[in-house]
Amino acid sequence: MLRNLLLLLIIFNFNNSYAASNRIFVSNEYGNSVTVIDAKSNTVIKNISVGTRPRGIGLSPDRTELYVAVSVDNQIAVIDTQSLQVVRKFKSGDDPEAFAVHPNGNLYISNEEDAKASVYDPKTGALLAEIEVGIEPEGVAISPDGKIVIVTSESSNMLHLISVPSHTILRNILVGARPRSACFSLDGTVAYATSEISGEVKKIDVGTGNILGKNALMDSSAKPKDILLSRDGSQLYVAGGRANKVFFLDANTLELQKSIPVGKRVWGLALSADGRTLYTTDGVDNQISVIDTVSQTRTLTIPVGKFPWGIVIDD
Amino acid sequence: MSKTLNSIVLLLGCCITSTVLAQEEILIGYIGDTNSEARRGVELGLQEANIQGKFLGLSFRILDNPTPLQIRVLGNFKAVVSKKDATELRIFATESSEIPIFNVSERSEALRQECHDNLLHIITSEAMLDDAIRQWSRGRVDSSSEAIGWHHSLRKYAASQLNSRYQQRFSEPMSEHAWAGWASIKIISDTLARSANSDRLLSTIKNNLKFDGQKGVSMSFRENGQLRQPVLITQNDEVIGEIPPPGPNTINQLDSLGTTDCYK
Repeated sequence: MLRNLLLLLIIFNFNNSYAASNRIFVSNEYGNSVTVIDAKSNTVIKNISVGTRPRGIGLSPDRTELYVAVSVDNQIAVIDTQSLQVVRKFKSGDDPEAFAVHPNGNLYISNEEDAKASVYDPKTGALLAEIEVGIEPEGVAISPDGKIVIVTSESSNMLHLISVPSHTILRNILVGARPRSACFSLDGTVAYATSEISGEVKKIDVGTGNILGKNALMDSSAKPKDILLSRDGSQLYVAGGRANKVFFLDANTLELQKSIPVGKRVWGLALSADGRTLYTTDGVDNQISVIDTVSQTRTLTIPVGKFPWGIVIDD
Repeated sequence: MSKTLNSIVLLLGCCITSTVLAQEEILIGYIGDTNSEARRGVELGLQEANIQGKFLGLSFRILDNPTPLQIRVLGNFKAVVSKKDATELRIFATESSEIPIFNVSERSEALRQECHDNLLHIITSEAMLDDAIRQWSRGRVDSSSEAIGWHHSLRKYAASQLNSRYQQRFSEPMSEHAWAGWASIKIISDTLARSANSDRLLSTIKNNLKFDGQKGVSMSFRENGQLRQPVLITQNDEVIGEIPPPGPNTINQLDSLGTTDCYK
């Protein structure tokens, strides 16, 4: 009976017909927990204790597992997205901060205190590769075809373009002070990166490393962190940090189109699968903001744990 | 040691890009006590400059206590970090007027108001600290707080990462002298990494700097050569505040600390 059920589950997954749970997951940096929110009713379902200083957060390609970088514990916690239990933890190198999940399921992790990026197989917890990068690596982005990983090093002011699967560095690109996050265009030929201290967004040609454009965010208090591309590729969403705003930029010209006030110290961003709803983590206000990307307005705030950092949606 | 380092750099160099990166060695002078927090800060900055440099084909080396003559004669000398007092520093700055000199220990206000073209003051001045404590005390009763440019208990703005890198390497807390030494090397190396024309290092640093000193703001220089930066307020060996207070106007308020003008 149990075996049949298991078989059924496996077939279910292989058929790729896994039903989205419609849940939002938020890591609370100083709450030491993950808040789970039902995306339909916008209500909190559960708080899951995960360990000290959870930051980076991401879903497995099949959406059955949620990974959380627990920085002080030097571990990745794995949460079953159905049962909402921590099912295992594995060591992930020193001080894991952010990571990205590769389409092949491996995790690319920035190890902030080690000036390294590391690659782990989350199924086994095996370390597959280590790549030397600059000081204080943080943001990790993976190209749509999975062939290039970008790691930002905050204190060396660089983007490192890493080739997959050889894990050699293809290119190092100097950007503004304290680069924190990056994302790719839909076709993977362009990358965008935020620099927190210089307060700007840069647009980079992935093939040549040339800087194609930059936007100094005007607002002198802007400390941009997360950056995301809209589903149609035409707009960028930038979390403004201390500016307490989310900026909508034209992805082609980097022109500022709209500033939307949210809560204090906005860091994390997540976008719904249909591109219609943008979620932000508002660190100091212990809440997330829900933004309608069409009307470009904030529609709702939802209280979460202390210092929300990362956010991801299973829809 | 340097041979090993070179082979590591070469080894890495092969894998970084298909075009071989020529290793250009850049010399930076240090003048003053070599057994000091300032010199140890310089050492940490050097290590970090070389980590960034290995990705770009640049390597940096410190030469301790070079004479102005050596600086003129040896090529590739790009800057000097100084832990000398005002009197010696004035002489040195005049004798080596063609390269930027980073002051990491002398707080004299007069030295700043003299506006030597090539003197850059990384450490906070007396008047900056006095103004900071005055602004902090406004409307407050307590009087036991102190003002300082850097403190080992600062955690925000990734300061905890920097403090822990220094502590781990030298088994002592990072002081302002150490921070200023570190910051000098980072300003020099990051600027050289960006600008092909190193002859214009001084003007680039003075006019176009956006430096991340891990104090939460973008730092630049005043016309008189002083680095604009927030000042920390401490009590019982713990940071309890920042002046200007963090907020939308922090950057605009930085010049309320200390003097900005030159003697006429």
